[in-house]
Amino acid sequence: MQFDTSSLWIYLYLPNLQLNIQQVHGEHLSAGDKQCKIQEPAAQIIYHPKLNQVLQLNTQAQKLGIKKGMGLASASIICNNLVISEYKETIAIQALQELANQLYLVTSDIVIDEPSGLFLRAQNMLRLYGSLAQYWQVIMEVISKQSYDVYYASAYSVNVAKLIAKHQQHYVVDDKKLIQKKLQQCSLLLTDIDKKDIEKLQRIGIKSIADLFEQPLSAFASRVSKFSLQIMSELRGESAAKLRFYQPPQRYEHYLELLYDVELTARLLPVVGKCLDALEAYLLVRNGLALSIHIILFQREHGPITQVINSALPIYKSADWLDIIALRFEHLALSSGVYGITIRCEKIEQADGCESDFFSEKSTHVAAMTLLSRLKAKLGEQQVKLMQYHDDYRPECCTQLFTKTINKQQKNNSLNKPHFLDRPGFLLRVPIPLNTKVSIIDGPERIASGWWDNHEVQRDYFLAQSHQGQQMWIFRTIDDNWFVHGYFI
Amino acid sequence: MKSLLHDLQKKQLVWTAANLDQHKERVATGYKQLDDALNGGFPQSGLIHITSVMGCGEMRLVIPAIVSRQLENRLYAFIAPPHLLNAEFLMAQGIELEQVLFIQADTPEQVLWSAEQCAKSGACSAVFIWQTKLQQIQAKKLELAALKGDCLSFFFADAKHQADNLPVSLSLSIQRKNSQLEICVNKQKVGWPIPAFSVKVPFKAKLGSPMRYRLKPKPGHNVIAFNANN
Repeated sequence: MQFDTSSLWIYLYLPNLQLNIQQVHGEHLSAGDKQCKIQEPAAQIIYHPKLNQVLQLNTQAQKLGIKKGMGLASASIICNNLVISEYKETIAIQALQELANQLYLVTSDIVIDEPSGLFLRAQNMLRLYGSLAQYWQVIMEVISKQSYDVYYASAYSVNVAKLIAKHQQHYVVDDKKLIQKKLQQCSLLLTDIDKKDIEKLQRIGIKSIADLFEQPLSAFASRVSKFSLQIMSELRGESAAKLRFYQPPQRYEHYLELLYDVELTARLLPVVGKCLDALEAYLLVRNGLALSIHIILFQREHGPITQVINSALPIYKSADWLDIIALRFEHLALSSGVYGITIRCEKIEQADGCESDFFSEKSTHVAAMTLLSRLKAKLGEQQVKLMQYHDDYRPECCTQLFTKTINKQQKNNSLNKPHFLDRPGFLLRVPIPLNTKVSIIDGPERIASGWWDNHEVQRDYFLAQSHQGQQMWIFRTIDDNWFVHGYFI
Repeated sequence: MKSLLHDLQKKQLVWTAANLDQHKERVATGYKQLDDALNGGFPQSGLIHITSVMGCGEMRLVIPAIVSRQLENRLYAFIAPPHLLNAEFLMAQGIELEQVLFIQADTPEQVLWSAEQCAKSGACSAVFIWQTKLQQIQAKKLELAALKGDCLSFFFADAKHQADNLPVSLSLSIQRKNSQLEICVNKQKVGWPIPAFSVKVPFKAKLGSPMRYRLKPKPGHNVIAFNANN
């Protein structure tokens, strides 16, 4: 989307994301292991093998004299016990998305600038928060929860904010003159302008931002590429950047690492309850409901167990979910201790504000759906079935069982009237030979059908009664064998 | 002595005639003799124990009552029936199939758990279970669940196994004598046991009169109406 050059932007620059994440993990690990605590943290670098460059480094490494952009050989000469990790862009992008997700709750327009930055459009939030200072305070609260190295700057142009932030500044103001002054001090090298074009500019004497501003843009038009020209005009505030705003994904995923291994499912439930509380809060804020959630239990010595928990009615309350999950967990066997739980909700249903009448039928509908969820959780999806009538003369083909709820179109289908009034309530799965003495009450009725689908039937049915008073539905085949097929209950 | 009686009352083990008001509303069964014997019909809710040989018309005896009682699309739960339920039969009896819940269960515990859940959920108007034997405590649980959920639970049992001292709302034994059913009220909450009397439970129609309900042939999917312009 394109914007005018008068709205205020903030750029968050997070250059050391992968290093920060690894440091946090390291601290978690050493917190469990007391011996490590005493040791000095080692010098750590993030290394890009293709570029052969050190991209990120911690303070220990800086003290030793390692610098950004060094090759691996020179870095390892300086320090012999260097901790080296390979640079992976996905880690940083994932972290940025998580951060954007958290920020989305307090600010609306976010753009992810891969691999190490976020744009926030502050202008339209100022009215909501009153002033830039208050807005910024709220943003900082969210950011400071993560222990990332973050630099930031505000400006009336996307690229200016980015350029100032890249100079490792902590600078949020809304005064145009101050921003302009700050911009003058910036180096041309940190802009997004092509490296080749910067060289060309330096040859014609453009060595700083100030020089860039002195000449009209048309003077550069033939010298640099179109891309660089675009950035230059953005820096000058003459055109606006094109950006795509971040849309948070419509799914929920949360991983919780347990403080100690849990081996009993009963002990797991309170922990799962905690996770569900988080889900409830997430759904509540978004006015959403969930129909199905995945629970993945990571076991210490065995593979993870994935449980898909379905509810017949969209719900969000953790107590309702826990109720269903407790039933499912009753017959869940853990092979070894569980160290982590992931709760994932793939699809979030929109809660429609239906005004439910206290006395209307809806209450039974809700009760029925809750009942279905409970039964399915305890007995299994396949054990709870609904019934449908299929128009067929063969008695064994009339009844169809299925697990999914029917849609409206099929419903009309089942409104068909049956052909016959007197059919037995119970049908035997397989007809059994008749071996008791019976007296025939009524019959015969011949059913000859099914020659078209390889299930041919020709039988003469009779209604019979035994001495004990059992009323049976018996039939005679063509070759004069008698069978019992059902009971009139 | 008085405290013992008090204790029993607290545990709901004694029924007193003072509670009669609760039982004023009955569900008519559709069979006159049976209604007379039961002070107007089945109770509004509770567990009903029916002892009979399977296949003597026990279901046809109770279905008219539960169909007439049906309000606001509540479910009928059939839990682990001994044989396949026939949809055609249920439809002929006036039950809408969308309201039928068919639950398969592997163990008696699961059957009883499901029955209790269905009964007390308030979503079911009738629950049917087939078991050889219920213990007192299990029957009590089911009875209370049915009262809570305003549901009629039916427990069909074979005559041989079940002792007749269960805490149920109503207990009947049924035996077929030729074309009549001989019904004996073993126990009921609002009256005395009643010795056997006869009720005629007929078939819906004489066998061999097909297409009774088929008034006009329904157009199939492959038939398109002449003026269909869509």
